[in-house]
Amino acid sequence: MGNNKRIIQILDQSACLSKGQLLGYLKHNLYPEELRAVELHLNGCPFCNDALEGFEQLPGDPAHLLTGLVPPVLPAMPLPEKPKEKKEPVPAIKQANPQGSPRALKKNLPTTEKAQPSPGINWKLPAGIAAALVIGGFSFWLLQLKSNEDSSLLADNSLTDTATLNMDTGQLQMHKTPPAVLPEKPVIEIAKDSLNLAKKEPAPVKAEEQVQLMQAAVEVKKAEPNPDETENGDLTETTDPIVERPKPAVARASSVDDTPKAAKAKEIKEDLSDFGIGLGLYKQKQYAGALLYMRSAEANSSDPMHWDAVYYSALCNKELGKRRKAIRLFERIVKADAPRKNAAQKQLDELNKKR
Amino acid sequence: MSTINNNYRNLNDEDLVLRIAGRQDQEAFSTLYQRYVHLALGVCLKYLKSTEAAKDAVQVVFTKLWTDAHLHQIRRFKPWFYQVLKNHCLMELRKKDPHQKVVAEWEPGFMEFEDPLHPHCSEEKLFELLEACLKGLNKEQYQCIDHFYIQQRSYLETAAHTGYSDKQVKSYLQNGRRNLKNCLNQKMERQ
Repeated sequence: MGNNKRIIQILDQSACLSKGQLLGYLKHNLYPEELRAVELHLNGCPFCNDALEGFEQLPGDPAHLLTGLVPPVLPAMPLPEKPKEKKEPVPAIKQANPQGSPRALKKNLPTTEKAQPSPGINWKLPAGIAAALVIGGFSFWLLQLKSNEDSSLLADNSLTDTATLNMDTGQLQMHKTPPAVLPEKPVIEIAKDSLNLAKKEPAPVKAEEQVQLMQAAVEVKKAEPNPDETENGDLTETTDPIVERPKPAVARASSVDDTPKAAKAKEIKEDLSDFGIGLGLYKQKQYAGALLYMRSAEANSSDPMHWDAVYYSALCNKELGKRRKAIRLFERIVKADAPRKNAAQKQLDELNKKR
Repeated sequence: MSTINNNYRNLNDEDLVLRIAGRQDQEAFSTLYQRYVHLALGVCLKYLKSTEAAKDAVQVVFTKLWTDAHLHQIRRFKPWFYQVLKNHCLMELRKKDPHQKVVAEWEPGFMEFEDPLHPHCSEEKLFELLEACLKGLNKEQYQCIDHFYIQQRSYLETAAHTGYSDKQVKSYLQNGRRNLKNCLNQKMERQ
């Protein structure tokens, strides 16, 4: 090594002495190269120098002292707070019919999502939120469409067509009359197991149907003599239903059930039930979101989909890594001899094998 | 497990402290403990002059490291830890005898941790500056540096050749080294 490099060694800083180096230096049994390295380090490290002095003062064997040293028992420390994760928004509230009661909807929802996905699967949470929002938006759009149709019917025919029978000519005459003030749509109680819409009122009867009914009535009437006719042939005031203004649409509810629109509304209702939405989410692998709905659906034991909801709850728990919960739910199905008992038993066997 | 231990051994002190502070990482603590426990014990032995007291002090200081690491912004662990040890020993001595004067031993100046030198010049230039600074040292310091660094002798051999004691050789070497570094820093700043 040239003189230059030897002088520059003055500036070098090396790591502190290891236990072996310290003990070897104290016992003077280091190799020359190691001794050189230790002494070079000691020139620039007060920590190691003080430690060496401390051991040199000690009468006994420093190695014995070091081996007798036991690491401290560390107290449990709270971990530093992590940034709060955004909670998955409850999709049912966003999907709710504006006419529905928000309290009734919120009652059945858990306030905190306990069935959190296992660590490391954080991407599922935003995906679940996105899916729930899409479904909510779509159902809300459908409802809006429906209500727009209803209002457009009224708007287009702002003056409703009313048919009156002209007794002289025996013909029906159409008049434009201001729309009848419809009574407020009654809010039917939402079933406990439903997170969604109130039942819709059937659509009011169209003017055309009304006309048909009246024509039919007229034909019947013609066949019978009119007891109210006076000798002059004038009609007295009667309460003949033909001349009466049409009753409000609410009264004709029973005839509407068979219309295709009502069938569609029913269909939508079924799809938007808790079990239906939960199943949809399950098929999209949004297990945390699906679990919410399934739990709500299984709350009502008289519901025909109750046991299906229990089964899917168990599947969701299984997918989320909650083995014990899943096992408990499957066992419940098997014990109750419910439908899907065989499927539940298979799942149980699979879960028990993994133990 | 051995792979994890090896990985931790490759981490520097500051990284280990960050893991202790941020994640309560017991492996990191264990690595740091193994690295410095013998030095901590030696320092406590020097100041407390009692084996039992020194052992207790080491336990307390390491526990403090575990509990308080997150409270301090530790840029350089070694000087910080050394200071914490000394402060603890001083407190213990004051508890035993409040009137005992231990100030003299705590006066800074004899040997301090040096800031790492980051030369911004070539090796040749550095050598030139060092040679110039060597000429500015006193006779004893120059002799010891010459024997120890240039002639590559050990402490004992340097002591034998110069006639100074072991401790004197150490002292001259340490002071000489510090003076050289200060001189070098000044010259580099001027340039």
